Amino acid sequence: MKPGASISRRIEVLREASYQAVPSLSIERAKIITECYKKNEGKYPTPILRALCFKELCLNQTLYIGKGELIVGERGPRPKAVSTYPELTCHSVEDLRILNSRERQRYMVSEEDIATYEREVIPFWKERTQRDRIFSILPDDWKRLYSSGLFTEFAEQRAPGHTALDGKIYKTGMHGFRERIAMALKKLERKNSSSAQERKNMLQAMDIACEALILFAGRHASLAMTMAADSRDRGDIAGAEELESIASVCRRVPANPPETFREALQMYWFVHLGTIMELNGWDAMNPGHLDQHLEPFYLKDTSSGILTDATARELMACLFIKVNNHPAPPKVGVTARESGTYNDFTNINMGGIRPDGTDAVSPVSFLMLETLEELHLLQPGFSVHIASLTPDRFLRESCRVIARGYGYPSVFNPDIYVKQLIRQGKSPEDAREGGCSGCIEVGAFGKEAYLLTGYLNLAKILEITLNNGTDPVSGETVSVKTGDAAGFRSFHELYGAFLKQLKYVIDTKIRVNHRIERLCAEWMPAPFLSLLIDDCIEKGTDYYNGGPRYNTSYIQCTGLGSAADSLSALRKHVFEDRKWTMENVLDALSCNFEGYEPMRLFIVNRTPFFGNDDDLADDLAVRLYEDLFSLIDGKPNTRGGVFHMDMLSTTCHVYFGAVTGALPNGRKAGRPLSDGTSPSQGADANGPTAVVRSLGKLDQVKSGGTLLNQRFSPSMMKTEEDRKKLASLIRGYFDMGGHHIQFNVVDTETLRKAQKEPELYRDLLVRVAGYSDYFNHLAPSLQEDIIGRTENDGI
Amino acid sequence: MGIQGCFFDIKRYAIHDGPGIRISVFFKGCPLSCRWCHNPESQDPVPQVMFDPLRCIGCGACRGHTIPDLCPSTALEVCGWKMDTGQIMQIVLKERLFFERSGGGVTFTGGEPLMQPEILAELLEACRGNGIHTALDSSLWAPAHIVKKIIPLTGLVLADIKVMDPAKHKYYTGVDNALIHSNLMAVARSGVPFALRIPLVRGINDSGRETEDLIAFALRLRDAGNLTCIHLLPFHPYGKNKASGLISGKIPASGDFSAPAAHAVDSLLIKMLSMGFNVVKGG
Repeated sequence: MKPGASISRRIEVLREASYQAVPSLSIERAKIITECYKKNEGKYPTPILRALCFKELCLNQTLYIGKGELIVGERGPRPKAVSTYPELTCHSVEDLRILNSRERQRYMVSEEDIATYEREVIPFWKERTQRDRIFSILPDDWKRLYSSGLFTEFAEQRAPGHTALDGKIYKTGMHGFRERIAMALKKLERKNSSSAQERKNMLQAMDIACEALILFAGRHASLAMTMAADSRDRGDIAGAEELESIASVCRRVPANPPETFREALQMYWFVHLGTIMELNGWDAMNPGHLDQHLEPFYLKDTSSGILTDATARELMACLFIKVNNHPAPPKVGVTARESGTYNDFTNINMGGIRPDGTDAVSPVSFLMLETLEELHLLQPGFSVHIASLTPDRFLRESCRVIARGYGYPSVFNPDIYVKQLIRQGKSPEDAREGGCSGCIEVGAFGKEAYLLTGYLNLAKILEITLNNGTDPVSGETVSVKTGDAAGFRSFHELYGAFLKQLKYVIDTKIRVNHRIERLCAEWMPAPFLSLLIDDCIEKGTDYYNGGPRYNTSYIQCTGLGSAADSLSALRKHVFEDRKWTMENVLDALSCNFEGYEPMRLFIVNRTPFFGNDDDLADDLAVRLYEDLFSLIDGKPNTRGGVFHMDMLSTTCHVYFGAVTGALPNGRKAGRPLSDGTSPSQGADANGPTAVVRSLGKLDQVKSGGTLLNQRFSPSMMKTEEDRKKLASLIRGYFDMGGHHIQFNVVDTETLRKAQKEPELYRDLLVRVAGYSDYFNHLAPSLQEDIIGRTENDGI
Repeated sequence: MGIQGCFFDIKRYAIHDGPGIRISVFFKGCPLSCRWCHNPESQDPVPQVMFDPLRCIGCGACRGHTIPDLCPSTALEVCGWKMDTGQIMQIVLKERLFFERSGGGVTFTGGEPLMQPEILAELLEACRGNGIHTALDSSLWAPAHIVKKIIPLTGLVLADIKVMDPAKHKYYTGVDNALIHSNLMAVARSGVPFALRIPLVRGINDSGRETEDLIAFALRLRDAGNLTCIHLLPFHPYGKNKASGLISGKIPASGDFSAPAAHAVDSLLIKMLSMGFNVVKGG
């Protein structure tokens, strides 16, 4: 069977298998790593030990080549078999049993494997995992804030990652990297200082990692040849030829630069696998501007006649299915609560601009859109990048796919993120080669380690301000004393106290983060990952230790809308209208508004809230945003870079909401906070243009990304005309300096929830008949009708 | 402060009331009282009090008061408020970027905008002065001199045709349609682009003589002027719940009406298409 000869059938089968595969745990990696540490620890410097472990994995992991696959390689022995990383966090027997039995995000693991883990893995890592090291240095003041849910810490059980690639792997294979390593070593030849020795060790480790990945690919080639021989014996000549072609691809890449479209995809996939086998960095791995990287191969192969659009789509689908085969490594504790998803956040950038500043949309961009539309799997995530110079045709095609309601592609504005990156100190070329990875965070692809350090709970900071440094949920004093809120005479006084709390929490987080960064650099160097990011090789320095050209630390601020709305409510009703005293409101909050429903509803219905293009509330959001910027931006980290603020929440607004009591904006205890820079749930009642105008008031160039979720009914995007208007909405937001927008095209389930809790869904627009209205405003009978109609739409 | 008008809603990101992204400004007050009206609160030209028992939490905040602003849950609300041109334009201008990006503008609808001709003229002129496209959604039941004065000020007219038979029209809407027809012809002759919006109600105007007359009239209008589009708007039975919320002012009676059969809408659509009209189902 030639590639492309039966695209739908092949992809249908592979897609279905990937979709149906049940996530499970594989303890193979843990066993190999534990053995390697037992054998080699203490004999080698840490980077070399880590490289040797990587090599052992490449040499000994069970390989998998599935029937019909054109792109091969798995992290585990089969699709969705997820490795563990005991050197970072060693799951206990109890953890494993929970993973095996919990209702959501379950990972199957056999009792036999649990027993092996208990016998061979757990004892070795007792009190010596990275998590143990980190927890041993955490001071009490930090722990108090952390336990109360004022912030989270990314490094406590996963390696920092947030890496996206530029185009270098397609121009130079592992052999090319080895040449660069040899040159760097040569420069160090006659130097004998301890720092030169460290660099030599690091370079040697990187060299071992190059060799290891080549061996890994070679094993795939051999396996494919063995399988091909079997097929031939069975008389399946076509099958045998297909396997032989896999073998020949795996012999070329990743050792050498790819020559064909297919080799380019396989090249990326081996590199992706190498990264996620080495460590479990957040956001797995991101290919960056994949359409730009593939474009030269597409042009060459289509003009020489060895590639058609159908085969190009099929090959890309094979890669995307591979990404879907890799759920996120299982988390524990707080991290499981704040990020409860199988998604490992690989985000593929499409469109946008080229490093020279010209339009990057190519035929590959369109083919990729078609492919993701056809696949619509959980992973990878896709984003379209719409600069002012991006052709309308690409935006319109993107809107058509958005209207399908899969939740992607999300939409980014390169004009703004290039400015963000330049403001942070990147060169224009490096900035333009940058983009967005994971959720919305910006980085200079292939040249930067932009590590997310954890989320910051703005609503909780207001809560402890209102309680003089005490967490009312636990009753413990967790922060500094800033005065009894009942005694605040003015909004100015309240805001001043809030700022003091904010500063204390941020400073505590940054101070401890410095020590955590050092632990990552010292104990968990990543020689393979370091190959991929300039200038780790030239500096002979690790990815986690300042090796990259740019080294950013982000703090992700969550709950801007909740905090701004709460401040707005206090300002209006307590300090301006004097409808209630501060004491009245504090009483209501301490009772979670029980017995205070009229007050709660009055606040909900009669307070200026962020997201309505009402300066009264928007100015507070702007003020909060500017204060966050001045408290975070530019603080040094230990890697030669600085901290910046990022405005994303992923799913952390749900966890933060769960640990935050009732808020002055009328939100009850335990309910989710606002997400990203979106308005609070249901607070925006003036439609999407008002929302984006509110967001447009934030100077988004100062952040490392903002996030705006908008919920639309499918009927608002039904016709070509509707989607043109959606495209204009996006363009308008981006004209105002918006960074990102994404659309939830609602399903029936959401509409049902909206019926039960209308207050949270006030912003839900639906098309009725000849006009549009808020779902919430409709009579129950009409709501039923719309729900029925949505299903009939078949979206 | 200039002349004030009475309005009952302003909707941003209105995407089904004319070209591009629009803002729809709803005038309160209508000379017609269509028995199937789906915005019954639009008929009385003054603010009215509405009450929604489902939202009422029985807190008693309204006891002894008649000012719905005290109601925490908004169960008790005033529908309609007075605004002048400056206040409306302040909101309209916020959307300017989206008008420019999408080729949109403002749609004046209601109620019946022509019932408040002074402020309507002021608004249309203010929009023109700011280079913003305007559309007027109207029943055209208004004195001929007002129509003559207003039409040249707008960029597009969205004209309703309810029922063709004069007696039926009078019965179902409360007014004669002769004035509407002559005004429509004046609109056509003015050269201003116009579209027809036809609410189709089962058994009343969705078949037979009604649709034949409608087509004949549409043909005359097309010959006379710049007819851009015909919108067929199948009736939906959703206005009733709203009417029951009005507790002051004019409370329209409501009848029992149903949506036209799908085949009736489709056969009219096909017939009109075959005659070369630009016809769409829905707004």
